[in-house]
Amino acid sequence: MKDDRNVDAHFKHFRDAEAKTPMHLWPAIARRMWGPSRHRRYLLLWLAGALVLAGGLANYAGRNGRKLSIHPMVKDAASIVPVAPAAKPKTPVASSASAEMVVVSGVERAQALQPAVPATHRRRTIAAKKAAAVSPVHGSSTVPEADARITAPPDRSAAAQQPKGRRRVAHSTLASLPRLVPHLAGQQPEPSVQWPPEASCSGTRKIHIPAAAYLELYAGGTKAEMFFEPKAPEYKALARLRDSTERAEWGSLAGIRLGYTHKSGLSARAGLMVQRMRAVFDYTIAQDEKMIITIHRDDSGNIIGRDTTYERGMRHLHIHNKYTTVDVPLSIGYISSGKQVQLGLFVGAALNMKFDVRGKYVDAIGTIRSLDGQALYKNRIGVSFFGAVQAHYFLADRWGVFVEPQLRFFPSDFSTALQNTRHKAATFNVLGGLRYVF
Amino acid sequence: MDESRLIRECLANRKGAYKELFRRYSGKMLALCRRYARHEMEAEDMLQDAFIKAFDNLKHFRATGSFEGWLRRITINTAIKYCQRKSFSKELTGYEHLPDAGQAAKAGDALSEEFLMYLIQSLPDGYRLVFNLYAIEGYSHEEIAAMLGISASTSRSQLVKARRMLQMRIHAAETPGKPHEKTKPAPPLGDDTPVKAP
Repeated sequence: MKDDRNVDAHFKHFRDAEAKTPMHLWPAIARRMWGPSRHRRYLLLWLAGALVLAGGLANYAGRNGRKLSIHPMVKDAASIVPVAPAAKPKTPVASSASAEMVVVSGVERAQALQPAVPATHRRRTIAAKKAAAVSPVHGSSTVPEADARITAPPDRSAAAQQPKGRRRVAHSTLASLPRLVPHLAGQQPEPSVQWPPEASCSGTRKIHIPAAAYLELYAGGTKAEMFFEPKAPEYKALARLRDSTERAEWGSLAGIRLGYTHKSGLSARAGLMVQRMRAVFDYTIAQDEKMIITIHRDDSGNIIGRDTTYERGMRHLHIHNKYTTVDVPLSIGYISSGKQVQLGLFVGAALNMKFDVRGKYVDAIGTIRSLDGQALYKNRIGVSFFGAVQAHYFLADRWGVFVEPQLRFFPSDFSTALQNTRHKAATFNVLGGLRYVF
Repeated sequence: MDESRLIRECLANRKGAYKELFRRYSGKMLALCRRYARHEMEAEDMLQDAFIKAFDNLKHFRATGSFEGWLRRITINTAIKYCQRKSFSKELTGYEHLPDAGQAAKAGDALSEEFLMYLIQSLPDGYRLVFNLYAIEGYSHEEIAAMLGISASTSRSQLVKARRMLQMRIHAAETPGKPHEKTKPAPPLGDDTPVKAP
């Protein structure tokens, strides 16, 4: 026991020991003390998110405004209703006063739904069914009637005489008002056109794309390819070494974006994306020592002894590094639409808001060091570029799923002046997600 | 510049004063951190965190005791928190028990300062903490128990085991002819050792 206590004497002087402080410690502390604060970074991120959200909302509000632009025509039609004597409907309905209100709202809904959904024959039928089902005055017997008319085969010759574009849709909807609302049939002249107005709805594959805003939520995987270039000729070997030892593994990404598709098929998207690339490097120290602690236990599992032995040999290190980017990706593209499937081709640029590297590195004398708090990588890496192909499938009226392979290239160097090699990357991303059409 | 004035300057947010404080005390605090850390990288991380914590709380420093004592206490608390982190204990596998090769390489002579430091660093976490706090810092078992959230008897038993382990290794190092017990670290890395950037 006395011997044990004497051990302390060997170590007492450590209390006042002093070590030489490495040069890089003060800059690291100064950066953490006075560098850009986390709060500021988060504020920037939130600002970017808020901008995107505000843009989306403005877009949505704008679309509402366009929907309302049809209203004057509808109101004109509806305004006739109160002054004209209400004809007796074939099916029982509520009072004429309430019928006027509900009928107008039903038509409004039918019109409001039209531009927001893809103009496939099937989907328009669904929209009209919904509109009819929502209005209680139609009664059960009017719904099949309306459906029968809506789904009737198109009259191509009549459709050819129709005005083009949105006016045509509005006109047709107005014209079909008496058909949708049987008790008003006597007050409106029988229209000469049949529903649907577009000849293209009779089962052909060429689909008219309605202008629509949409929101997409997605997540996926990313595989990076790292590139190392020497900053001076003497670092060529180092760059080659890093190239050969550092390899990427599958990482992850997630994001949210708002998009807008013009009726011509052109589409624009903006959002916020977080991508985490993972890299691994193996490092071997030719001669090292391994400590092996063997614990001996008795039959009942109690520790009865412990042996410590040392083995000489090679030391292999398997080090994982994580590169995280937070970006605002902006892209434009073209969408081609089928009955239920849309295919899109996009190109875009992503503005980096934050770049963070966590992990370890091996310094010039072979010591393993943490990357935390060291200025070896930039905090932002500028703009990256990407191309993507998207396949989207409508599950329902407004909901769909999509899958999108992406190729992304980071032209900017990740490293700061403290590194001897330039560090760039390209990634292959596979995104999958949900789309909601407004 | 005397210490109290230096602290006043820091409170007036002069970066130069902060740097001067760091320059004065970083050596001692780094030596302290090295005793608690398993390798150099961890010691540096501990030191950074300790200084940032101290600078952030400088306004709470009352000049009743010495600044060094106050800073030392902050550094010790930071080191304890580091050692109690889950990730820290999860890393304890295989080679990870060892300090860095570079660090170990310095431990050539028996009972040299580097060798003794190496012995402390190679102690299991619990032993190392208690041994440092009791044998070197001079805390009582009751104080250690309160700091680490263990009982005083656990602290005592950990200390006994730590002493025994150190005694055994020192004895092995002083007695020639026991190669497997003597902790002879790896030689310095040769020129042909692959070096990873930066």
